[in-house]
Order: sequence, then structure tokens, then C-alpha cells
Amino acid sequence: MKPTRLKRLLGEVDPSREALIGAGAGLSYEDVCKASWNGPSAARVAVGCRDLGAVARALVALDGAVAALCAIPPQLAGDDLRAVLEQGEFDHALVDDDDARRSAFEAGGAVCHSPDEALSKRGDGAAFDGATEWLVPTSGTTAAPKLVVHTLESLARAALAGRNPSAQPQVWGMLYDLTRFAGFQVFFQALLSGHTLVCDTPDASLGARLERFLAARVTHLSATPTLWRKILMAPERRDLTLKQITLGGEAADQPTLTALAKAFPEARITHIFASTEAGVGMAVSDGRAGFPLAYTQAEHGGVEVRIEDERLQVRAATSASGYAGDTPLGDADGWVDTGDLVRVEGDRFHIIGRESGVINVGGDKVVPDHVRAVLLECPVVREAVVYAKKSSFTGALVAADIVLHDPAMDAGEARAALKEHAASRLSATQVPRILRFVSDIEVSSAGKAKPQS
Amino acid sequence: MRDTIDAAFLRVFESHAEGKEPPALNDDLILLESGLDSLGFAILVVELEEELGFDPFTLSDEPYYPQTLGEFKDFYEANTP
Repeated sequence: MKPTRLKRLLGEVDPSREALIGAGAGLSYEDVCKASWNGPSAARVAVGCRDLGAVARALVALDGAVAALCAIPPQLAGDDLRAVLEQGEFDHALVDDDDARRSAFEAGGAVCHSPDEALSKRGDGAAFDGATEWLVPTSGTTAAPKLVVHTLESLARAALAGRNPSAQPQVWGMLYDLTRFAGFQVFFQALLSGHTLVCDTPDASLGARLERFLAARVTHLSATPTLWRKILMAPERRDLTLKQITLGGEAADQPTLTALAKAFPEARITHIFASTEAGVGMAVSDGRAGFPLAYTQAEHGGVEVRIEDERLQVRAATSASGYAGDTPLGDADGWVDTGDLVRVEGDRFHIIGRESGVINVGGDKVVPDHVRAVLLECPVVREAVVYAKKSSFTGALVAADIVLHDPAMDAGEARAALKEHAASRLSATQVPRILRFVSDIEVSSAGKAKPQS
Repeated sequence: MRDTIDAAFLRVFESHAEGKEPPALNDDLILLESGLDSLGFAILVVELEEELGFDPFTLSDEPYYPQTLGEFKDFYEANTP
């Protein structure tokens, strides 16, 4: 069977439809599809452009034309960029006209081209016989990012399954970095069904993005729960009329789901669990936090889920095959351990956090995301981030940065309210012992909350 | 300083070792027998850092494990920045 090609799929959409609206000019489906790769078909190509239109055109031109491609996150630099270039063994790179950026890619062993030079508008370009590898960097919040090896079929599985190129066109907003797993999901969900995707430059503020979404009449929006809480606080969101709200990347908590339902009464609200390693996992749209336990009993959309030793494992027909450098991901039966810890409550299971982020308090393992979820339920708390602080007596203690709903609230009162709330819901080792009140919490490029340094 | 430590000790004891009778505070009190566990001491050090502005245990290069309340207080005094 011949592998699926992105260009062929997008070619089935009405070519005059708008594909991308961005900071620069818009691109129709015809514009996105007409570029072809001029280089050798055995090439391994890193795409390091900042312009999202150029990235999109490059991905379409390169799939099926080269051995491997990788869209490099625009903010990746220094050691992290070096690590990614080394893992990918790229021999070609598409880079904007920026000397510093160019020399970083050249130092990684790649011949650099400008996108215009490498992607011609004529001819058929090269053709690669097998399925092109799509290398997707993990977010690498604690270590250097790793490249996960996908194909178009594994990376776009969810979008391919629900694909309908003749559907009524919708307008989707992009809040993720296109080069990450979550960004690819939005990209494929929008373009494979012929919708319009509204993007912004990577450094645009949330307010500016929301204004652009409003002007383009965006109806479909996907973001992390942390980012959704910021959107709820942004005045620009008031006039948005959303039909589909998707939450992913972190566990969706009940207060956020409830607040979104109130703010956007016409929207369907879906929260999803997915990991870069496993491909898309599962989704639920009933407005309740957690996932139905029934999901562990039967296959859903080509994905099986099970809970082993309180950890979530998934198995899918088309998972990523491994990390670049051939570390296999799954066991012999194809089950992939997601590294996420799970708690079962009644007929639901909740993903309470990553095992790798666990804080060890005198031998007790504390999951920061679990503590954070409890803090977010406290009525005085708007946003929270939980982290470890070194202690000479217990190795570590749990610390939290808190943004209060009312910044003028007395710190002593807030502390007392939080202490009481936490003590009644958490064990002694889980209770944050160090509380800092801050005015804002930084959001990482993957849309997740970060502690202040 | 020594009074501040006594007051913080009693406060942490009250909230952490709920229901237990607080010990008589004197310099000879053996910390391990005081009724506070290691989490209690970790909390005490954090609370004192809030009040005094420093944590002598992380400031000092040598690991130090005081055995009595008196030694604990001496260590704070000796390592005041």
C-alpha cells in the first residue's frame, strides 16, 4: 500500500478556500499545495522558519518527497537546538534570512536554504519511496527535548479518522506552537477537512491573538486548561462566539470546565488526553473532569487504554515507532507507558500528573499536579503552580506560587483560607508549606504553567 | 532569636502534632523526643526562614544535625548572616 501524502489529501479541498490566515498574507489551499522540494529525495530536512505560512508550505512540499522532516520550534536555541539537530541527523535546513539562526543550523551539519530557494512552484519535485518520517520534539521541560519518530498517518491519526474535506468550512484558531504535537493536531484537524486556520507570530500576546481570532470569526479553539483560564480573564474573549472548545496538555479540572460552560454556553466542550509518544489518546465532552472508566474496557477510535500500577498505558494501531536513535517506545505487545499517574474515583479515572515530576517529601511521593488541582478548587485562587523546595530535614517540601482572584486580599487571610482548604483535602506531606503570592504565572511555550525562578 | 524559635516551635507543634501535649521547652530538650517528626522540623525551618529571613541549614556548607533544642538555637545564632 502506498503511504498517504499530505499534498494529495489537501489537493482534495476546493483550492480557492482559505487555508491559513496569519500575520502576513493569507494562503489558499492552492497556495499551500503548489510548492515542491528541489533537493534530493534521501534528504533529512529541518524546517526552521519563523513564518508559519512558510512552515506549512514546507511541510506539504516535503511529505512524500524526503526521508525525514522536522519543524523546529522557533524559540529553540542553544544546547536544546544543538541536541535536536544532532538527534535528527539533518543534512538540509530551511531557514529564514537570519545569520545567527543560519549558523546554528550549519553547525549542526545541515546545508541551509531559504524557503523560496528550496521550494519551487514548478515541476513535480522529488519523490521518496516510503513514508516520510515526521520528527516531533517533546516539550522537554526538565531535560533536552527528544525527537519522536512519527509518520503522517500516526501523527494525524485522529484528524484522518474524522476527516471530511467537503464539510462546511469552519474557522480554527491556533494557540499552540505549530511544531509541537498539540500544534500538529490542530493543524491537521483544520486543514485535512478544508477548514481555515488562523495563526499568529510565535511572540504575539494572548490579547493580540484573541483580537485576530475575533476579526476572523474563529469558532473552534484548542488550548491547555492553564491557557483557558487566562482566556477567561481576557476582556477580548467576550465577543468570541465559540462552537467547539478543546482542552488538552494538562488534566482538565472541574472549576475550569464549569467556568468555560458558563462563559461560552453555545460551545461543545471537549477535554482530551494525548501524549507525543502515544499519538492521540482519548476525548470526552460531557463537561465532567476525568474520563469514563468504561474507556479502559473497550477500544475507542483505534486506541486502547489500561491502568497498570496506577499508571496509564495506551496502545494504538499507529503509534509513534520510537525516539530518534531507535529507543523503542512500547513493550512487546505494543503497550506504551505514558508516565502519567491515574486515580480512580467512582465511574471516572483522573490523570493526576506525570510520574517524572513527583516530589519526594521524606519518602512520600507527592504529585505536583494533584496538589495544584486541589489548590485551584479553593475559591480565592485564580492560578497556581506547585514545585519542590529543598529541605535539609525531608529532602524536599511542597511549595506553591499562587495568583489570587482578588490581588488586594490580605495575605494573612489568603494564607489561612488556603491552609484550611489544603489541610482538609491533602495529607500532611502534600500540603504546600511554602506559599508565595505572585501577580502572574508564566506560561511555557507548550501552554503549561511554570514556577517563577 | 531564642524566643522567636520557641514561639515558632510551639506554633508548628500545635498545628502539626495536633492533640499532643507540647513539651516543656528548655535547652536540654532532645529534638527527637520533642514530639515533632522530620516533616515538623522541615516546616519549623521554613517558618523561621519567613520570620528571620534565613535558613542556616541551607546556608552552611557542613551538614549539621542538632540533637537538643539548645544546639538548634545555637546553630541559628552562629549562622546568622
